[in-house]
Amino acid sequence: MTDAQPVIQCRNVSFSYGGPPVLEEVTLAMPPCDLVCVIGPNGGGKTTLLKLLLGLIVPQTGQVRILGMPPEHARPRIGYMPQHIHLDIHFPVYAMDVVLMGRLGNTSRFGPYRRSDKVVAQRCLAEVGAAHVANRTFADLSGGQRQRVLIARALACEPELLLLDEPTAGLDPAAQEDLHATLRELNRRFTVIMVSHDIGFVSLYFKTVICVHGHVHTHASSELTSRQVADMYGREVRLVHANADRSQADPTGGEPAT
Amino acid sequence: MSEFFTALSTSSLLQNALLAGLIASVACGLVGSYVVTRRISYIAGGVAHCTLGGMGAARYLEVVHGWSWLSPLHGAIAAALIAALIIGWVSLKGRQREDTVISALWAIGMATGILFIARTPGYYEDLMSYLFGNILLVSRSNLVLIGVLDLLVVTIGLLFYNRFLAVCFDEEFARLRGVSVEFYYLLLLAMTALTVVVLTTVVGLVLVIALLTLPAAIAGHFVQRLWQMMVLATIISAVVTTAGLAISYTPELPTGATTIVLTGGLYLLTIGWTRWRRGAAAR
Repeated sequence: MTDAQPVIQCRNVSFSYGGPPVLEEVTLAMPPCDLVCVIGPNGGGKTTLLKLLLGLIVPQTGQVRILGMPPEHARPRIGYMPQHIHLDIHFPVYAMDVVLMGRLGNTSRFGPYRRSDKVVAQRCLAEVGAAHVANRTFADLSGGQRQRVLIARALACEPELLLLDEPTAGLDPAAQEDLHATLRELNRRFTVIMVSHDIGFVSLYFKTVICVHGHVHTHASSELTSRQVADMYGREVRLVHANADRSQADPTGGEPAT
Repeated sequence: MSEFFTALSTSSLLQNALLAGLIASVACGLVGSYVVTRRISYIAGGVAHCTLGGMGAARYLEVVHGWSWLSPLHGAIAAALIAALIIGWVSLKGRQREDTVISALWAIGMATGILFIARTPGYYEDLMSYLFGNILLVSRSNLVLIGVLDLLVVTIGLLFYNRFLAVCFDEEFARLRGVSVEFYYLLLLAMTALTVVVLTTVVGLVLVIALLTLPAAIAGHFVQRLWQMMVLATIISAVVTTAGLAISYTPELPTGATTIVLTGGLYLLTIGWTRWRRGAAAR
């Protein structure tokens, strides 16, 4: 159904919170089943871009289309995982309770969740390898488990597009690698877009990289160069490419070995 | 204490008081848990103090203008709902600093109440019972009204439990799932307002915040899910209001204050015990 149509399309989108523009003239189109990483310096507009895609904020100029629709209409089909730092981790909830919140749009308005909702939630937890924490308190989980529970909550919406805001923040390298593997698995079914701070290994895991720094540039991850990234962050950045030796970073800031 | 139990079998005042405490405890446990987890106890404080304006106005109309069908409790309900909706509206629109608006309403509500009460015969007794409660003055008709409010609050709180839970835990996500966050926030504030009115009859408006939040806060140390917090907070609230009544009866202490000191003591004990246990676990 969505094969021909881009999952995400932005045309000349500009946005400001009232001051100087955060994003200017953003134009991009993402095909179905892409695996995308959004990178850029702090304050560059990564989270703002996600909020535009969700329709939580409205651009001053330009147009955003998700699955061919305005973002507010597409919301039921988007799974979203926010940065978990804004959550109160001492809130008395089971991991299962959190995942069930993903069913809110699909379940009845009153009363308890349906049995079918619980089946979906349990399946989503299993999908991210967290089935065993279902009946544990959110506060007692490790950082990695919490991220997985929040991804499961996004999956419980049965989305056609998954947006993740820094899902690897605060995870050790092994947990990050696990999470990337999970995301690659999910990417077989739908488009996955995640914001990340960790840019070193970006081209090992992702098909496409979106660089956000006021302006937005889209690259096939294999073509991203250290110089482009260095220009954006204002300093040297080490990039590792899939076809290069993993242990050897690209120290010169030159073109990748293709 | 045994004197209390003897009196309980004969005195309808005492029976009403006990019943008021038990009825109030259900709303207290349920709404208190939402208030504590959503961190809106300051809003509840503002709403509580605004009720003095409503009670004062209603008492004035009742005594001076002979509106005998009106009771201070009616005024309290109106004032609490109005205050809750104003604060909610300000907090959603966010154009003003929310805490400034709450503090202003807090003081204006009280000032209005004091002006009305000053113009009504029986100034001192009325004021003291509004401020610090007098559970022994709860009448049969008040009891019915409290019961209705309680039933309303509890029904709504349970019916929309999942939505309130989602809005309290992660408002942005709930919004993305198509939940009308603004509606549920205002509904929660209205329920908080009604609960505050119910609890005011037990401990008075100055002390009400402690009774609304402390049982839930104590329960929070022992539970893992929100509904467990509600159940435990209800039990704790029922125990302290009953104990407050029983302990204060023979030495003729103010019941509201006794209840609050008990609750506060229990809260401190809980914190101490939790710390001690954490320390013991670390060793």
